[in-house]
Amino acid sequence: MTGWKDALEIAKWGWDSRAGVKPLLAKFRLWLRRSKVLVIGPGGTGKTTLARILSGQFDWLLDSSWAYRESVEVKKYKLRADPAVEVVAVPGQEHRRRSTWDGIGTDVSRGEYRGVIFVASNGFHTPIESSYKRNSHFEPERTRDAFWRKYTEAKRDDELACLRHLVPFLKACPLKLWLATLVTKQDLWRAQEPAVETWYREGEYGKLVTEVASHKGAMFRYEYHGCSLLIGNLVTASNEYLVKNAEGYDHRAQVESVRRVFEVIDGLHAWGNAK
Amino acid sequence: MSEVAELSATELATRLLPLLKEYTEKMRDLAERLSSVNQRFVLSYSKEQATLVSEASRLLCLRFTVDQPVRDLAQEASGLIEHAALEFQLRAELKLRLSEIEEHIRFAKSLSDLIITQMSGLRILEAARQVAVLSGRYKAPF
Repeated sequence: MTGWKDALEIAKWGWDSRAGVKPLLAKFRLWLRRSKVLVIGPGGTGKTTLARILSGQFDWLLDSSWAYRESVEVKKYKLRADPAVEVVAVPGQEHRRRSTWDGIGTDVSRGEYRGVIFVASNGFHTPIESSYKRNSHFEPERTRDAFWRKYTEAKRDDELACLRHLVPFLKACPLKLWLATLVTKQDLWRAQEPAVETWYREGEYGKLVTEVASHKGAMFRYEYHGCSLLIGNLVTASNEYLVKNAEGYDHRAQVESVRRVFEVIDGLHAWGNAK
Repeated sequence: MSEVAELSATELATRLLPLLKEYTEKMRDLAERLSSVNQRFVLSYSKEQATLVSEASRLLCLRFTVDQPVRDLAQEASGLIEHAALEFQLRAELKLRLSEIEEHIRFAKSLSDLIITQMSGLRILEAARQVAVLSGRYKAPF
């Protein structure tokens, strides 16, 4: 039976070996903390919906996610495929980033996240305000389409700005790290698919990813995937139609795109776990 | 065309500010009361817990009731800050009010979750749910 003398022996051994034990403990703590996946991106792209789908919490019948509900706090879920992995979804609106993104970069660079899912939407971010006519890109003398072109251009720039903010931290991460860019709302921008894929693989966005890949080499893996988490026309809270679904993009296409999301994440997760 | 769509960004922001101010106070008050109940649960004996159960139930129901409408209010303000062309001072005031109300929204939620966990540990969660049902709800929202 272990008595106080044995406890003293163990404590003495621990103290004497602290130089060797300390780094092992630090590695163990990092391994524990590293069971995290970050879901990040600008507001209105579907981060919370994605995180809830990945965790198995999303109820396809009861959840009315076409009604956009902005997140004000960081949300944490368990990955359905591996409950040991925590999925952390952070709010994306620019004015909230200072309070909610504070410290994320440091955690990424320290290797606390094994993967990052950047959720973009080809600029098709759901507007927060109840009417698009209050948006600064709206000009009364011009058409709704003109507004939409300016808006999506600005939002794509915001996606770039978000990724640019992350790039130094991704490069600084000393451990294996994967990045998945999920471009949601495919049912809306399907007609532009070739241009969209080029942008996220080779365009300004793709160049930022290449910068990380060149720096990290074999310790980095990147996947791009266009998907539709939910089929729905893009409508403001005042019921103003901004974009309608692409004709022919049906439930089957949507389900297959979500299925592929799981395949992509599972594949990256397995790569991250492999030695 | 709806009345809402005819309001300019500045008009809407000006209308939102007093509402934001009012509900920031209410959410702060709610968060403080939740915090007090949480502390009292920690220090309480079983007799006192019975009194705390009704108070906790009432506050949890209140938080549940106001949470989404307050978030919707915050969301409207957030949209104006993010996208609308507003004069500097108006935008700054909106940002400050929004930041404050969001802190209280977050803390009210986390304190509610703490209280629910406490009551679950003390095996009085079901009693709290009964109080919510007796107040006229079909089902307790927690």
